[in-house]
Amino acid sequence: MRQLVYYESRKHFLTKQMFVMVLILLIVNAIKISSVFREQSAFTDLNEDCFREAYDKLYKTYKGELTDKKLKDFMDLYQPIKDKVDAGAYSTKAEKGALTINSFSDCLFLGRCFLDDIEYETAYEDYANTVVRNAVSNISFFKSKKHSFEANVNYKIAKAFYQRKLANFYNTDGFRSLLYYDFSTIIIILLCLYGCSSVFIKEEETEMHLLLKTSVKGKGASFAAKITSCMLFVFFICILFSIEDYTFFFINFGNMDGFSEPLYILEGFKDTLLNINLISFYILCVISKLIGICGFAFIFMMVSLFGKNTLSVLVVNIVMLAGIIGTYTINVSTLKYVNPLSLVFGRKLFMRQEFIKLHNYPLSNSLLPYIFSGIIIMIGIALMSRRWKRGVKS
Amino acid sequence: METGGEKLNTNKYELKKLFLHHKLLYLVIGFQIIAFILFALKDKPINTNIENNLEGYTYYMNQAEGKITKKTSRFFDDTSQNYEDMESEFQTIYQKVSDGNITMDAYRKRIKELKQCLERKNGFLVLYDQYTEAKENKTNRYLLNTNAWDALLSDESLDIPLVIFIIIIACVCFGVEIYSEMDIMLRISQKGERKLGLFKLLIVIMLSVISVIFEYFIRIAFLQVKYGFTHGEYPLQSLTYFKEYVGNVSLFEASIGIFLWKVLGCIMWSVIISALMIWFRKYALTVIVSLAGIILSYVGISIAHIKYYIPGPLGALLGTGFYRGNCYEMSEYSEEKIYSFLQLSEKTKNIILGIDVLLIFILSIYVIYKYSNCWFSMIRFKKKVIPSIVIFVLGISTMTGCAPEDKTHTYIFNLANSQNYETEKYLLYQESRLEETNFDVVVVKDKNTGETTDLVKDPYRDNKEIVNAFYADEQYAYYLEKTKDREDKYFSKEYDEISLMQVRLEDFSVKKLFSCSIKTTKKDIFGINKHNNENYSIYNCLLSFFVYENTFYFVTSDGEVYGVNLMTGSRKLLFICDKINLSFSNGVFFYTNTISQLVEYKVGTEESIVHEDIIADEFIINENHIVYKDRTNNNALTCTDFEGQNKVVICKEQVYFCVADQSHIYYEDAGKDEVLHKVDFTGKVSKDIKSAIKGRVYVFDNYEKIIFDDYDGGMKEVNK
Repeated sequence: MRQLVYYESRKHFLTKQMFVMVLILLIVNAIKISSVFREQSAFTDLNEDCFREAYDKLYKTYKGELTDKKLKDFMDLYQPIKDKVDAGAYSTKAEKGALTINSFSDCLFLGRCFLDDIEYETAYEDYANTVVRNAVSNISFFKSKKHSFEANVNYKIAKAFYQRKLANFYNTDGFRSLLYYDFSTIIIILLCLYGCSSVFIKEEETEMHLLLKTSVKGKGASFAAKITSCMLFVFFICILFSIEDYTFFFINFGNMDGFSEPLYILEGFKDTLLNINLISFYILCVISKLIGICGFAFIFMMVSLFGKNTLSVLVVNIVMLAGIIGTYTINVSTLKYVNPLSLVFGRKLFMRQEFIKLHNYPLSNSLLPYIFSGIIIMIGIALMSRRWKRGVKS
Repeated sequence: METGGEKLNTNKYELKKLFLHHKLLYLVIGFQIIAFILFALKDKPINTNIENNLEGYTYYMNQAEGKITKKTSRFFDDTSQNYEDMESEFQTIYQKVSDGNITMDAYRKRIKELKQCLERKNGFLVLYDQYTEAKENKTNRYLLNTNAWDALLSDESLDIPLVIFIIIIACVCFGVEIYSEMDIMLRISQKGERKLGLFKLLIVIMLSVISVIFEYFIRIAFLQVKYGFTHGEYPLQSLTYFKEYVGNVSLFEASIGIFLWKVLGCIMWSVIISALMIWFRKYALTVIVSLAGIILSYVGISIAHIKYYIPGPLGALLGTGFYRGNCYEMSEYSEEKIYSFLQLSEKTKNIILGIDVLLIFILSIYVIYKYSNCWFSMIRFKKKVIPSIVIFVLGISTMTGCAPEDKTHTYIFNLANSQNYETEKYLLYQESRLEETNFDVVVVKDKNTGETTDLVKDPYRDNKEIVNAFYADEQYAYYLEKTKDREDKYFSKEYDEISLMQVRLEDFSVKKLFSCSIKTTKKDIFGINKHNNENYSIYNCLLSFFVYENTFYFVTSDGEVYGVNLMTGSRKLLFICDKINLSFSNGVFFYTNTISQLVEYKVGTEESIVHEDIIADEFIINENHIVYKDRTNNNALTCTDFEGQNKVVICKEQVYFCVADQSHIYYEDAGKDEVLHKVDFTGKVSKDIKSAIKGRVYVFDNYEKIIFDDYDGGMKEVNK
């Protein structure tokens, strides 16, 4: 079996053209990551050297645990500058004692790079306690109405938000841009399209499929080998590009210090119910992307099994891909969960979770796409094996 | 023997093979239809204000279009002054009628003239905005109706159906013979070889060019019917998208220029695909490499002008960037400009044009050269396969799952009384909770047991903004919330999405019915094609709303009334009411027009009926009655029924506010405060409720007490 898988991979995936394409796309991905860094970092329009130097100096003092002393030091630094700017007594020329150019740019720089994050982190504990309070009062209200599903949902929320606190200050720009980065997804889908469309169609074109199906291991094992080699290819591509993303974001942004901080340190994930840290969430996103791309791969493979000709298979796959992307942008929420694209953009599932009712037990909406992708994969395997074993077709 | 006729025959056979055998003819026709349908569905007017006020706008545009001269400036000043005079006259004319200073005939004549003029006022305001923008650069910016030209030119999006279509054509033309290895047979034939290669290339180029021409002309015809093109000779800078362009180009010339760039892009793209096909000799590699090349560069290049600096099919197919000027924003801390688009100079454009033509030339030579009878590849035993191009459109049925059907019940909605509602079991009203939040909270009160609870029970409500409007009918209550997703941390601090939530009053379970994005600029799914989001200005001014028969109707503070279909999510502007007062009953809207006459607007058929004898700015309606402040009678509180009969004056003095339930009207007049008068619909005084009633008053049909907001001590009740 292992040899069969190896031969199948060599036939479709371990070709010279594929290597060259993957290499070129890796380089393109790296270039795009550096352009994303230039656009989305805090220094996009503060692009003089003095800002970066001041940032490095101040970051060393304030990173790590937010003690009261650090907060007081920071406010002592920031408040006089802010008072001066509010009073209107600043100029746009360079000043002598300023950290960066002048008081106005100081105020902007400190506010953007430090104050917003520190305020958000210190206020988070109150917010989490408010959520717990609201959820607990809801539990008693719904229990009195004998509505145990909503009571269970609120119980989950209260348990997740219990005693949440953000104690450390780190620069999370790198992780935020990494989690919101979608360009490598397009590359992976295109590579998957290229690889999976030709898995079954190559033998069909040369009419060698008759020979294959009547061979000794033809019926079952070669079919399983094809699918296994395709899955291995998809896994390899996804993990390769995810590792490359992380590495290049690390190189460009300079540090990914906050990797052990909880997920809600990013403002977009303020309401998330997951209590995991950033690096585990990135791994979760990668796994969701993997399962989503597997769903796509099965769709492409199904079309390639039923097709007669590479060009028609490719065109049908492209049209289907455009259709899936088009329906994803329509704002009907029930349709979104069936779509494997919602797994590919896995972060959106975990920002705010809703629950559906399953016999008074709340099932999170974010599990639905996994279930649907699993169903697509199982239906795919069933349909394809039936078609493969159908016997010799003239 | 060679005769001249034989050359014609091979070419004819080639054409017949491609069009009939390989069914390219169907593909061409199918592509035109699909491209047109996609364009027609996606087309929305760039400036919706012009479409909403078309009559007034065209009336003034006919007088002011063209270059801005002293005469036009004087025209605008005079017209603004004219409107100010008319407004002040309109304010006083009803006072004159109440005092009896004007005869009814003179009044009717004057009111007709005023109505005609004031109806055009919104159109004039839209034109005035255009005028202020054009005034900044009088030489280049002319005034004209820009919607048609904008829809044709102001769009930077890649025509993906065209790209895929050209890929298919080139692959079919060259690839079929390569796959069946019959191209070797052709290449060694007598009239084959280079001439055949040239002919095939010419077919591909011609097909793509003809398709582009047809697609462009169908688009122009469609836009001509929908908006109408005028004044092609005006300069290009009259359009907002191109307003910074430095150069002397008219609208017509620019559209021809962009079209020619697109044709050049098509030719380049077809030659590239043919060259790739001949090089790779495989379908999959050609399709994926070309598709990846164009889509990754389209999505990935985020600095807008670099797409045009690189010579290649992408810039030429997009086309519009060659005529854009420098766009910049000022930096926050220094006085530098940050450029988001740099104009390409004439020299650069000529260089790019030259490189493009050179590229086409080189690649065509390559194609023709390779299509020769020298052996470059090994012979493989492949059987001939008849290709068939199967394109089927994916149909996905939308799942239903929105609000269930409403029972037949007289729905009455009054904007003036939209802060309290009553259902069979509950009363819902707004109460202020100054110690907790600055906003009002919607409270649900059980009629039988008297216990109260909040409507919004979302644990995350501190992270969202709950809009200050709500609605309730027999089974459900509705509220709106705004959320943020904070993707762009440093450069946008606004709300991203607004959602309509439905609460089932039996068990307080919540369901999201509808949501849409309210960012200022909206991007497509992979972060491309940024354009201004008009939802931002519409949903951020939302005053009040209600839900009726699966449609979500709301009023903005500009007086626009929209209806959103909850199944499809499509939004439609129904009408614009100048004075923000609105009522609704069983499918009919009531509002007042520019001269304060009451108008009935039926939603299904869109017909309007004007009640010329009911002149009111403030009114509320009931199942059978209209209670309003009559402007022709010194704003006296009057009550009439819908046919205009049984008109009864209830109170001659000024009235602070009035509310009504099924059987009585309650009002507080300006003279003696703290006394609520209760009268019935014939004007007979029933009772005077003396109580320290300050603030809001809520009256319910089937509840025997009145709830009012005593600002010191919370909500109190008093018997009706």
